[in-house]
Amino acid sequence: MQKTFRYIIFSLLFVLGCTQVNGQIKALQKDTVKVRFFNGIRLDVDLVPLASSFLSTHETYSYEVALQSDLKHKYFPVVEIGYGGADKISSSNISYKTDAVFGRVGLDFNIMKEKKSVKPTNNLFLAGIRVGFSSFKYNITDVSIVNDYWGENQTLNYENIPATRVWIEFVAGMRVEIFKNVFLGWTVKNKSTSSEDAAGKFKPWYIPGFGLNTGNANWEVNYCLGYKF
Amino acid sequence: MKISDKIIILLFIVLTSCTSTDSCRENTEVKMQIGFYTKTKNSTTGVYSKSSLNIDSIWANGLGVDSFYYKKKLSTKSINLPLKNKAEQTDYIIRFNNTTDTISVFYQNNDGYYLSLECGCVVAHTIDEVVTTGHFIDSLAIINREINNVNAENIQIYHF
Repeated sequence: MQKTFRYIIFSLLFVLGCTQVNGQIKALQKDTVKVRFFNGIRLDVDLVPLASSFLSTHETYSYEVALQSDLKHKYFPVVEIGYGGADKISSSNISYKTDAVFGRVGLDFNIMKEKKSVKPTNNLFLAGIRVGFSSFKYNITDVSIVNDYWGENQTLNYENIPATRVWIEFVAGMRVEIFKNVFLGWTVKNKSTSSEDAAGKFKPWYIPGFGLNTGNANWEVNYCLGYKF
Repeated sequence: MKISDKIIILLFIVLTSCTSTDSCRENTEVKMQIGFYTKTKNSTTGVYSKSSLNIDSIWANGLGVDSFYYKKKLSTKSINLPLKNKAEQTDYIIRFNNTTDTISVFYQNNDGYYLSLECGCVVAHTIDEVVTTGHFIDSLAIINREINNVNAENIQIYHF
């Protein structure tokens, strides 16, 4: 239920973001300016962890910042760095713990059509791709194995299991300049990883930067506050 | 902004339809499966053929355990026996109708056969050798040395 509440609140925030865009476009209909090659670097801070720390069950956490440069107001190479982890106790009382730094590199394209009669806005409608990477260690502890017939009980702990994961993300989002050089916006990410986990081998329950390792694609939403230098 | 409106609506549907499942839905029992077979000779061609053997009643008792694992199980073609997790040899006394045999299994243990965070680990086994007495059992074949949570036949016992 808490998850659902979280998504409802974020969806409401998106709608707010959109009304901002409408206002901005009307305000910026003036004269035309030539587009330079380099148009500065924007630092985005993900606000979702601030909200989710009140809403979630604290099983997982993820914080990230992004640096995105603006080339020709069309290409937006991006570097994202974050820190994520999990501290989870499953229904069978098994603990999973990990925390690590993760990184992503990628490229966005501004897909907002610009009319010639209108001054190019600083607002962005972005679509792009990321390659994510995380090298981390995880613990799986308090694993209980019971053998009723032979009367055997074991509790096993597996600590510092190393893992390295690479994944691909398809992203879409928007940025709206709410004040001069201050941007607000959201990004939606669809993440998928190709690595298969062999039967019987340990696999991470949570991958920092990727999310839950369920074997399926993950969806993630970032709500960002940005400043353009 | 019509495109973004559509995306928002789509996202709302996609994200709210996500639910987390947090219970074990996998098989967590690890047992050695033994199937019973007989060989019959075709009188005209002289060729032997294998067929399943139905045991009328069967008893199975781990050596050193007070209780029966199978107690007069009727009309059965296979049995599933748990092995010791902390030893590398398990012995069972198996009574086929009125004849008793002892079966000894030698194996290696894999303590951390991981299933999931919800289901945890099981102890899987790899069979090295199986030795039996020969009162009811005429011969034996190991057809799958890996014993884990997958339900598969490991040993075939032949009675002619």
